[in-house]
Amino acid sequence: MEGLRKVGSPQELATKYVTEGVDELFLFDSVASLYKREVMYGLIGGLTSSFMVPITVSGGIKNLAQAHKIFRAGADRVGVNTGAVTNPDLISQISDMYGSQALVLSLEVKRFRDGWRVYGDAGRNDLGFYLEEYLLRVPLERVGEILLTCVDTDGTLNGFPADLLASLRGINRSIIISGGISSGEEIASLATRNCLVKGVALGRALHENVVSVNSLKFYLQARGFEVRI
Amino acid sequence: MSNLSRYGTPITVEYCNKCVISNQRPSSSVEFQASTKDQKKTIVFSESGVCQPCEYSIEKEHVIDWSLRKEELHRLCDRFRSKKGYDVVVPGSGGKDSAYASHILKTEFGMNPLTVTWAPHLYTEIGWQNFQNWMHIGGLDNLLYTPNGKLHRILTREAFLNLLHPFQPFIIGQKLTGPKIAALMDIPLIFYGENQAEYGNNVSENFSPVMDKGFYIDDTEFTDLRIGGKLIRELIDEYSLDVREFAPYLPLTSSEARISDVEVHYLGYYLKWDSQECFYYATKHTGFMPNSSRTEGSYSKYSSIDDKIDPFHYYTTLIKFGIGRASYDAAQEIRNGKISREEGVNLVKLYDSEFPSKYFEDFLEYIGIDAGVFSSTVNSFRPDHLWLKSDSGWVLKNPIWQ
Repeated sequence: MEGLRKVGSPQELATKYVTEGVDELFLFDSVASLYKREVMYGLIGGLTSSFMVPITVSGGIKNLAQAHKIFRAGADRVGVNTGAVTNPDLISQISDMYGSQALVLSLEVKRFRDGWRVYGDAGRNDLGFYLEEYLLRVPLERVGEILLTCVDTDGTLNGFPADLLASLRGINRSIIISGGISSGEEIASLATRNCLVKGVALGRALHENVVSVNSLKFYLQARGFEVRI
Repeated sequence: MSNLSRYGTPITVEYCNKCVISNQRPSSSVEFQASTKDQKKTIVFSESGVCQPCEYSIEKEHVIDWSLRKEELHRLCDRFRSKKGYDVVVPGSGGKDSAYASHILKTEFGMNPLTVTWAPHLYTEIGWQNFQNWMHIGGLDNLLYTPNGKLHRILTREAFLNLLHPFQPFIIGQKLTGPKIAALMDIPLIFYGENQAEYGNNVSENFSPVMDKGFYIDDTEFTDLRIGGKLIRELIDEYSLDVREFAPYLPLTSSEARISDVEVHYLGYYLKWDSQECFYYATKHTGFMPNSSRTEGSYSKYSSIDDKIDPFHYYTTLIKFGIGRASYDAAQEIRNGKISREEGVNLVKLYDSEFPSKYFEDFLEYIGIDAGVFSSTVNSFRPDHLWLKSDSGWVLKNPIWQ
């Protein structure tokens, strides 16, 4: 979440990954809150009309009206992070209207000596909570999934911190993890450690062709994991 | 009526058509000659309203043959490479740029660098950690040169009060430490990272690989040099100092420089410089880590993060020239194709004028003033052509977003 690089057009990359067989697309405007800019509805509409896979949109969603426009543009789910802190009712409002399955709680966390802190604005601003404390405040029953991103390892390809999963003990929501993951071995190890890990979100590892969607799926299937081929 | 402000900057504010920098941007100058009456040279705009750094960025992208420049660097390194001992000095803090420069010179060009660091005023935790990682993970040797803290505080205070330029004593040491250590240890080659002309000095400097010797050589009687807007001899009298205490701040004389025939080069002349790519390189090879949160006054968290006083350097450039930290960061990222001008303008609007409150108490304590003196000093340096006092406080008269 620093030293941002342009890796290509969202439309072209989405086409490539859908062709390769991804189960879902995350369209994450990582700097929308930091730049305080409006959600890119036009871009979302272009992608949702092109692909059949579910699309989750996150980044800069601060109110129900924005979520409404994103769903109207064809997205299947929305993700909220900073907006859930600046507008504490946002999760309930979206969930009431569209159902919890349509809502992803996006969490950016950063390691400190005394625990994991929750961040917003593209991993730049401490939102004021430890992870465990935050998970108790948020109405988790109103969200379908949690997207957990480690700020420290995001974009590094150096591996997701396995000990972070221990902080999620007792959480009964599916979790998608992200930040530094770059191999099938790592995914298998992380999913074995925590049965709530239902998916992984990859960025740089795919953009730079470190791994391919197909190779990861075959690797995981061969080791007994449930994957859609 | 003059069309120049009290600082020598144009009284009509214009912004570059391609980035967010304004015509108020001063060029780097020889700091140990700076007086309170200095008229600054400023960035040059073309007739079509484009700043020279933006024009140079087009050359960087489309005109310069970087493979030829790289060969030139190999030849230069061949000329200086030693069989024993150090062959190049790389001044720096262990931030992303100096980490990249020193590591690539060692690993790709077969040099044996000695990195030298002119210590920050007050290390931040992340700055110290990155500095340590530079040696311990990056595998480089380093000399840390920490100036007399009592004198450095006096000079920083004088520079703040007289010039609203608290970073000036640091900058003097930063420019001199490399050449002086090189001369002392008989290492004839020095590499800095990017050329300062990439940001606003005369663009012709970009076409020379070497630093102007005026930045580190001066034969003026040293008591007639200035720091913090005062002559060194005045400072000696006022604070009962020993003349020898000023050693770290004095430039080399011609005869000292000639003995070791020091050459100071910019790596940015030979290798296409991109700060974001330096960041990626440094995270991979020298254990560099960005800060845990956004730098006040900007949107980034990876540049100039090692010194608690650093935010006040950018805050004072905002006051005197209307250019804060976000403007510098955004201009550079626009030139490197990382963000659009529209995004840059928005980021300047959001963050450029943010007050650096995190280390404000540290800064006041460091230079021994209170918040009232800070405020009155800052306000006395606001030029009329840039600032307007409104009911809600001081506002820029011609911000880029209007």
